Amino acid sequence: MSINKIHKNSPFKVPKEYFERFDATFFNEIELKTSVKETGFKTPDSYLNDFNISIPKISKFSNLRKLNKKYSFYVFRTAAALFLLFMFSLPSEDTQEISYEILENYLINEGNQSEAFIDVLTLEDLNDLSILEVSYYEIENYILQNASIETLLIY
Amino acid sequence: MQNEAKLLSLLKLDNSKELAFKTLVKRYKEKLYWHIRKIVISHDDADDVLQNTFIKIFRNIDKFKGDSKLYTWMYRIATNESISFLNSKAKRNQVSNETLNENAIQNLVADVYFEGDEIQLKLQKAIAQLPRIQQLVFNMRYFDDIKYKDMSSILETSEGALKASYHIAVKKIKTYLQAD
Repeated sequence: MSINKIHKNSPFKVPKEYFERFDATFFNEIELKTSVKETGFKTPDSYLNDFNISIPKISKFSNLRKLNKKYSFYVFRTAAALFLLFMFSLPSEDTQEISYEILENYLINEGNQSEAFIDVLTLEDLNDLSILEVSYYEIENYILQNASIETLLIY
Repeated sequence: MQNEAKLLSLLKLDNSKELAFKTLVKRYKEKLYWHIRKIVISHDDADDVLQNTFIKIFRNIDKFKGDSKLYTWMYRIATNESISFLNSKAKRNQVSNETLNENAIQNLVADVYFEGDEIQLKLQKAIAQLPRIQQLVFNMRYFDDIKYKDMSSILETSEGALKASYHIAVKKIKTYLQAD
């Protein structure tokens, strides 16, 4: 059997229009790289040389941090509930109706609210949160709407 | 990689963890910084995300089972941290991710830590037009020459899909640059 015949009967295949597309994609990239190869970004002088991480010490707070990520919605809801309770307990002539939207905007605008709450809460406070009755449906719903999947995947 | 395996075993021992972690930071800070910087664009944001990335690596190193290479695992954390950072920033500023991205590119013109010429600025604008996954693939392949196999592990996507994403991204960018 000749070599040509073997080649023609080769069992190997390539994706449809592979060779047609190969030229286009290959030359597109080469052409682009010829005109621009670098990003243009730079860092402050000796930033990378001086870069250092202060290694977090393992303490009881490291566990609190985990609780923060996993159960931050408890903290968030408790803070919201306390806030509402406080507002409703004010004398009626001074009360102003606060919508959930206003409350949520306030908490969003306050930046890292869950981090801030966790810093002022003790382990005892967090244990007290167990009295809250929250259904699995509500938890799931909250996570789906508010948590980033990438963060959840890491944990 | 034997060095990586040795470093990993040192990272898992209490008495050598801190020193090994310093070595890890020294070895990977530059690669991770540039990877993050291309996603978040501004230096200050990249600095924040890099710090968070290393802290997360330190806290989770014991959970790393060695199913993938250490560096692809770290890239995955850096990528996720960058995306989470951008999502939070968009939410905090009450704008869409697209608007946030556009603003970041517009700010490049006045950014003291961007010294790109006109074509480099145009390239960043072109990249910003792409969907996020194509941005990631393009940056990792075009600027860093990361292998599709490693990229597949970092982004948890098939090699075939990544190749297709890259080729589509290159085509779109070329069209954008020619049209402008």
